[in-house]
Amino acid sequence: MFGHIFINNLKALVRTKEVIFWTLLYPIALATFFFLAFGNLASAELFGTIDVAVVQDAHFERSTPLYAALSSVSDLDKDASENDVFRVAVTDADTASRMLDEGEVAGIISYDGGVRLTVSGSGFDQTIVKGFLDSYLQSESTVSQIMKENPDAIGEGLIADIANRTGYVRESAGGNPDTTVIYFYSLLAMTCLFAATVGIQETIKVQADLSPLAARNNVAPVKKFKLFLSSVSAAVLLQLVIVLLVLAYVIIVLGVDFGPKTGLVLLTCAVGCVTGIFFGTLVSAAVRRSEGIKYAVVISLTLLFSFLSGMMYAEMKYIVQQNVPLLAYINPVNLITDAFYALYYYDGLSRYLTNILLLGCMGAVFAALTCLILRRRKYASI
Amino acid sequence: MVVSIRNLTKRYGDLTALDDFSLGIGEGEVFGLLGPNGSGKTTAINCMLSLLKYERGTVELFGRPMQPDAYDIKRDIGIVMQNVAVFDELTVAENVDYFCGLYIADKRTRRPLVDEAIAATGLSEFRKFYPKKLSGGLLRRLNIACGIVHKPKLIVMDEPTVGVDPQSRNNILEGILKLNAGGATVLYTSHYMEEVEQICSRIAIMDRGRVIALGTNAELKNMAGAGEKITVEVFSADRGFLAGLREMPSVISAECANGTLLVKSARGGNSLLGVLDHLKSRGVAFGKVFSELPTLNDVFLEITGKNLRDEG
Repeated sequence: MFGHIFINNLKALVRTKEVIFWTLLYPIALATFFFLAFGNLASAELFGTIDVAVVQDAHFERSTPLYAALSSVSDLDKDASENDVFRVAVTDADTASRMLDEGEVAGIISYDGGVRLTVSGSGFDQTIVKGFLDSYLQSESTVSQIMKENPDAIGEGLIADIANRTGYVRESAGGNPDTTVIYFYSLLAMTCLFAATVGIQETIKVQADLSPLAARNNVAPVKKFKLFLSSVSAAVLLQLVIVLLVLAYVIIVLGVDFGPKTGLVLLTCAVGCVTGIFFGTLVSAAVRRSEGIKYAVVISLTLLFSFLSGMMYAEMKYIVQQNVPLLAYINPVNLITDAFYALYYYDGLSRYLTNILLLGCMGAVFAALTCLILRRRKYASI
Repeated sequence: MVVSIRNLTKRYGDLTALDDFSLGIGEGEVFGLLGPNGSGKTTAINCMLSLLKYERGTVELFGRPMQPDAYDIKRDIGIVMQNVAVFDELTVAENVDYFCGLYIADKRTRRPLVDEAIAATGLSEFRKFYPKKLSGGLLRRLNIACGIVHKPKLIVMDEPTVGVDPQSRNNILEGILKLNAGGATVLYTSHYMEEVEQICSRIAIMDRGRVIALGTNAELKNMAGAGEKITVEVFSADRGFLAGLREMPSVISAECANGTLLVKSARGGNSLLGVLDHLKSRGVAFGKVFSELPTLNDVFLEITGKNLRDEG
């Protein structure tokens, strides 16, 4: 009996165009839109090796600290590496100027009574070069001060220590953090919660005061709980497959990085789907209004939750986290988004586990409340 | 008794939908519940099936108290709802099989029953159609197929012919008689008196949540004071003939308006020939002549002062 109800409900759900649109096609379309809109933004923020020109003159050759500092973060030491921040062209002033004009380099570093930076515009690369030189000048000033007060420090390798920026550079260049992934994480979380629309349908099929179909089901010699459980199981399976398809599209086709912990990403999707479906069943059982109003409530709340978790404006996630942390913990979309985020950015699992446990508890509460409401077997009106 | 309802009272706020409603249906009957819209027919059925709460009264089906968890009783009931209750996303055959599967688990046992129900409702050509592709009449037939497929002992049909074309209606009514001939007891609700007269062995007329008349078709018509109703198309402006008609012993009333003469005679009286002789003797030319026996509507009209179909 369970299998009979399960299979037929699954068939009916797969053939429901609205379900397929809202839970599969709509998220895929939105993900594609995000990809097109944020693709350039993400690539603009990627660290790449920056071309700079250094004017070779007597001052530069004598400036051992600057040479040493540049060598530690560039191919100036003839040892090119993917961790290099700069690719340095050591040349004369005219050639450097021509290279800057033609856009071959982001800036010119020269020495004219002090270290100078010449750039032809503003941008990410120019800011990095300037940041590097500011840091160098600050260090140089510090060293000068120490040399005045403690000349012995030079013998203890102070210059070499200050000039070496390898550790700092490697850490930043290796991570390549992409803030736009938040959009995709919250989109996937929204897809999980959109399973609520299916939850509404399944409740309508078993609550006799909501549809003639449910009334007919209630007259049959089948326990209401069995009817509900088999219908919801079909919905969970369908939603899980749909979320996996969306996830595969986002990862394989759009190339969004969800980190290496694939198993936990799938677990998050599964818990998210179940919570989403029971969110729908609860709204459907509790809101004693027409089917249209139930859908309106679920879709409005899902979009609101998605907004608060950063789907439309990535900073919103942090604003909510800082100002109303409780809201972040009771927002299922945020819990799913944050679980993906934790898997991607953190080595440890404590933050992820907190999210997934809260999400699971939320789903359990939704399910329990739904069952409490649905256990009623006779109705005041139909 | 297959159905025994005693003193059922159901209220929706201040509105009393069922007022001390009682009903008994014996095995093998086609029992008609006739009443205008809003008279309480559907409420009575929903209370009987334990879908609705009620304030007072008892319901027994097959001699046992009906409860929401009385699955052994439910196994023998088939329901055809007033509103079509099928899956839009399943085909005709899949729908019939789904509802059959709620009663019979074994697929091999179900298969011939599904085929039989589809054939009985004339849907064999439409097995692979989705409900949205069916006409209103075919959809109603599918609704019926889903309710009868498991061969229930008691079939409850709540206005199954609403919005159905005459061909489908005849098909449905014939099907109900076949089911009854096969041993099923049928409770049939309608506000179409012709249908109820055609198929029901006993009829209860409902109004405002109460049974106001109960009996066979003939017994109910005998309750009406009026007998034959004669309508004559007359071509005379002179109304002098009316007085003579009203003096005839079997005539209750005689009225003429817009060229139509309406004569009501007392029950048991036969006035047609007398009326026509009188018109001839007065030199009144006449055209079409109709004679009708009293209908259930006349009974309803006489008891309640209103027409069956006028009530919304």
